[in-house]
Amino acid sequence: MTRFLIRRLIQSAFILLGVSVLNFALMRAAPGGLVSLYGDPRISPATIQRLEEQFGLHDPIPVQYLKWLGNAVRLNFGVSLIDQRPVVEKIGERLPATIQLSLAAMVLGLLGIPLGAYAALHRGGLGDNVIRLFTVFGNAVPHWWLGLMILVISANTVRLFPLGGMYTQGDGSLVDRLWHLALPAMIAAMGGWIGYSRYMRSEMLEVLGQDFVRTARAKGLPERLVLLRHVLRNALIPVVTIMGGTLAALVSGSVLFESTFSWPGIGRMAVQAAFQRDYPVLMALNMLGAVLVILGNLLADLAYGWVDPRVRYD
Amino acid sequence: MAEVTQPQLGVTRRPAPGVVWEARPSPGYLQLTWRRFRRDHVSMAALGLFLLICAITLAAPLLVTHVLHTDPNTQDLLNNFAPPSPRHWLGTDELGRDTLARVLYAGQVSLRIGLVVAAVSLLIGVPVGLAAGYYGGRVDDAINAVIQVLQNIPGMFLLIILSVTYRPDPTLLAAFIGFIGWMGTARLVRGQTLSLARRDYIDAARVLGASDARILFRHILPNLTSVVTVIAGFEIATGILLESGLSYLGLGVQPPTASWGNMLQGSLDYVTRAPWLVAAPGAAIFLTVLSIFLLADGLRDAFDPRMRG
Amino acid sequence: MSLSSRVPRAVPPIGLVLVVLLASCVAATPDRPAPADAPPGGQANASRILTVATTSDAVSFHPYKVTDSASRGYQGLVYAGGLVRRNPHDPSQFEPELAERWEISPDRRTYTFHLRADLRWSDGQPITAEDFRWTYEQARAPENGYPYASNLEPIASYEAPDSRTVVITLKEPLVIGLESADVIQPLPKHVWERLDWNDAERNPEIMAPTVVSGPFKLKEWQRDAFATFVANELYFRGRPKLDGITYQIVGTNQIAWQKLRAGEVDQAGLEPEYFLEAKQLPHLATYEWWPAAARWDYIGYNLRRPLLQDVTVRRALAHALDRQALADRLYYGLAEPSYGPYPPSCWCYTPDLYKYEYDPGRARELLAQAGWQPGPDGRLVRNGQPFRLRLLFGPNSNRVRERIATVAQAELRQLGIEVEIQAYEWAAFLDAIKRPPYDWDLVVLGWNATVEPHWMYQIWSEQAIPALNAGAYVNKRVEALYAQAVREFDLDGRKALYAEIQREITRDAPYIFLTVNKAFAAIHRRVGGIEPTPLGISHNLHEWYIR
Repeated sequence: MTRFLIRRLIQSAFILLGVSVLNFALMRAAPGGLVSLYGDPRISPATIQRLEEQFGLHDPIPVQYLKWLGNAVRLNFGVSLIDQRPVVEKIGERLPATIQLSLAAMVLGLLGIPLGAYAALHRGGLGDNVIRLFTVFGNAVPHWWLGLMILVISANTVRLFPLGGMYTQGDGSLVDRLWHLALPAMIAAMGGWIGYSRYMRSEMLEVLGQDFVRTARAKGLPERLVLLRHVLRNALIPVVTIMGGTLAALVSGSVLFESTFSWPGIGRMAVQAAFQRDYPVLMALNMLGAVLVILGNLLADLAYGWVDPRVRYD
Repeated sequence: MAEVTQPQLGVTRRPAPGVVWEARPSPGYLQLTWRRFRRDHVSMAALGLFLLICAITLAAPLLVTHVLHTDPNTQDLLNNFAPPSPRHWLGTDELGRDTLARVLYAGQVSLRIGLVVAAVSLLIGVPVGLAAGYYGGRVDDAINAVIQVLQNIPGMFLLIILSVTYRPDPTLLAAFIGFIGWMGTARLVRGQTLSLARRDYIDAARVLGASDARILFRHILPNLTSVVTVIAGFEIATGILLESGLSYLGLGVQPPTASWGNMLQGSLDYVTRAPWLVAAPGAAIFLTVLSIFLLADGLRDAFDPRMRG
Repeated sequence: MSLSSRVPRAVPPIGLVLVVLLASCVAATPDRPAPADAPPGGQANASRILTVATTSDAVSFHPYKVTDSASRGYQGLVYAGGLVRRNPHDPSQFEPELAERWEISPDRRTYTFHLRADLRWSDGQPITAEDFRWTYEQARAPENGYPYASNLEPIASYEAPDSRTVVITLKEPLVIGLESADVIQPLPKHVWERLDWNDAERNPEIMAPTVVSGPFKLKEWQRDAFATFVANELYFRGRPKLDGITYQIVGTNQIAWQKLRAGEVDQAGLEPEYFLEAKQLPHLATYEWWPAAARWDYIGYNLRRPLLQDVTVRRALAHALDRQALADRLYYGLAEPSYGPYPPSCWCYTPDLYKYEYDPGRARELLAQAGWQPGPDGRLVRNGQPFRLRLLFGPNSNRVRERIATVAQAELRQLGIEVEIQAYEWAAFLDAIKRPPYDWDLVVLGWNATVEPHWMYQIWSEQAIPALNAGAYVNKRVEALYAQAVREFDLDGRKALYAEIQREITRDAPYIFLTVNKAFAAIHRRVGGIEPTPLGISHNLHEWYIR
């Protein structure tokens, strides 16, 4: 186990290195530069030169990368080129919002698992069909658009949901926060509901048809125990493996959802930073994303071992 | 969002993990599948709808000229935001262009994007997945590492770079989307290959002296038909949805070329004023993606009857 | 930016702003305030707080660091303007602001300003001439990286002989002397002196100013969520009638509009299409005015292209666009056709100009003169070459530009000219038009002009290629006329010079001038005291009140 973890850590370090090189190269290959400077023709070329110098943008790009790397390994991600504040601080301000939304969506999304199990056990029944209809329809509209439309309809009819934001200014009570969280979390959880329920349903059906289930039933084991001990457990194994990707998917999804719901998180920040070419912020956010993907994969592997004792790490 | 459904920018984009596909080589396999498929009314309806959409879209130039008697680019500034009428079945947009004509033409763009995304994703993902699954070991590790790195590249920047290095061309945009998103396909194919490669008959073939290439192409690849077909369906749908998300951020197909995605995005300002402008591309995306998903579902069930709902 | 007498001095009047900026920084820029009220949930009427929905949050409160309009809006609330300001009702005249009076030396180089006696920082300390001088010294220091440092160049010396007198000497006497002298918005020396000018870590005032001079004080700022300001009791014009202003930073224009529509906010940045809808809503009052700082749109030529160096071709294309249709249909009547570099609202405007009216027939004639003949398929050809143009616009999110581009494409196609349109994301767009290889022919853009006509010289000056003069227009006579006009103190003399400049530029047709645009705002009816002037509506923000 320890050896497995150490190996994975070393592997992850190399992956992160590769990610950082690619990110840096792509970012700098993209056309356009600091909009805050180039976008305002009143700033004289001499001033631009001086500021670029100050930001270290005149070094050759490989040198800039190495400097960045040297600082990054010490967890120093530099300062934003837009407001000169430490990147870590800026991200720290917005991360809680993203975590809140992502966690809520992740937890809500897990409801898809019981839904899928239910559908499998009542195959062909009303519940199964309703769930199938939901998953198929839910898949066929862009979720950001669905969220926006619900907001617009809600604004013009019954105010079921607030028009975005994390809380009402001057309020901020738990109820108020939950009210603001409800719609974004549900929209963000849709993917989870659909994905998990479809996956779980087919896994359950697969397992239900297998010999050991029949054997267990033949042994006279109570149906409840058969389901809990054999069917659910076995069906969960592959489901767990896809959970790893959820975290990363939520973070990348935040790019769209946070704009739609005026959510002050890192997704919106990433879009702004990309359009402004705020390189240090972007690098830090990209690395954060990479760490989450890697972490998600690792957790999935560990969870795999937990639900399936046959898996050993070495 | 979870990986399955709505693909997000550049990261973790996997086609719906539907099922663990069973490989079952048997004579008449495809006929059997088709027979099973035909009995499923929903899937047949989906197939019909999808074919209808394709036909209408392909025939868009003819339909628009001879049935609607207009042109997607003809402007009529004096008649903008006209509501649906016998002359303009789905009304007109902010420049007085016929909405239906534009939706039809945009369909050509959007469907092409879906197809190209799927093609690129399969062209890269299938061979890579095959190699990883079949050879395992170091090859697998290396491919996995590459995939993990690529999963973390910011798709947005690729698209910004793309936006200036090419003249407006949705096909290239689609190729890039596919290029950013083949990793999911590779993983699924790898999983399937892994389980196939351990089968007895593969061992047997190897013992009989079959080359790797022969085993891959004669024994494994055909058994991946079902997976690949279903993935292709999901990738087409995914491509169409993803383009709409990119358009929302201003990185999709660039105006004035119309796609369903940028029509949807462009209509957001008129939600209350001219709802038909929102409804038309919205419905087009919805029906198309719906039919593709249902079709893929049906195919998967037909390929693997134990899964049938 | 239109409104703005309130634009902080840190962004001096040199302000030619690419209109594009607005679009990219999006909707409600604070100096085009649309405050909105407040608390969702219905107790809106109970509060005397104006609530504004906007899509872009500020970057910082440092008046000498940032360039985005959202930051300038916030700064305009907390820091009082300059020594003088333009009269909102007659922008050609100046009136006292922080200075109660001023004198100009006979050689017109030295300006002596006398500060009002009642100026106080929000901590009760007096605002002194020393604050001005100290701030000037900081802004001037090269190591402090003031983005608009070039605005300080006309100044030879900046002195504070006593606590209420500021004496500014310019390097040379110019008509624009007053504006050139009044470029400093003072910061409280007694607070800032002990802090770091550049580093927000060591200077909390940069992100959260506590000692201010403007009508409002910052209360709370949650980035990308909201910023709350409360009335400054010590504001020199008297405490604002509003208790405060709150900006809600929302994710998209659509949501900002829905909030305004639903009465959840008092004001929001508006697209023209929303403004039309706003007029129909009983709870919104709408305001329209022709801003003295005109906003106008144009299609610019890339004069590096041999094809476009032919003035006959440029004139032909200028005849090809139906400006009236653009104004009526794309701007919904919120614009008027324009034919020259200055709007009719400017004192410098001359009607004695050639007008490139919409006339496809004339356009064809001119093209034929230039050697372009329709081929068998109707497309223009010269020496076997087809007439093809590449038109750029940006940012790609700008719907008005997109429509102009599309309409221009259709109209030029009528003449047999193929136009390929390409939209860019903003940073990439700037790169495309302002950096080699300059692979474009036409570009759809706009200017927020300055109230003072002189500053517009920059967009026609060779020195400003490519920053402000992306199309590389060079006309030495125009530059000479501008240089002459800025030294001509007789108003009639200046008028004649500007008339000549306008004739010269229209003759050259380096732009296709399209429209001059109105400014507009929609504000909840519960907000009173709003008075549109050529300088906008925020000139008397401190007098706005909630009914």
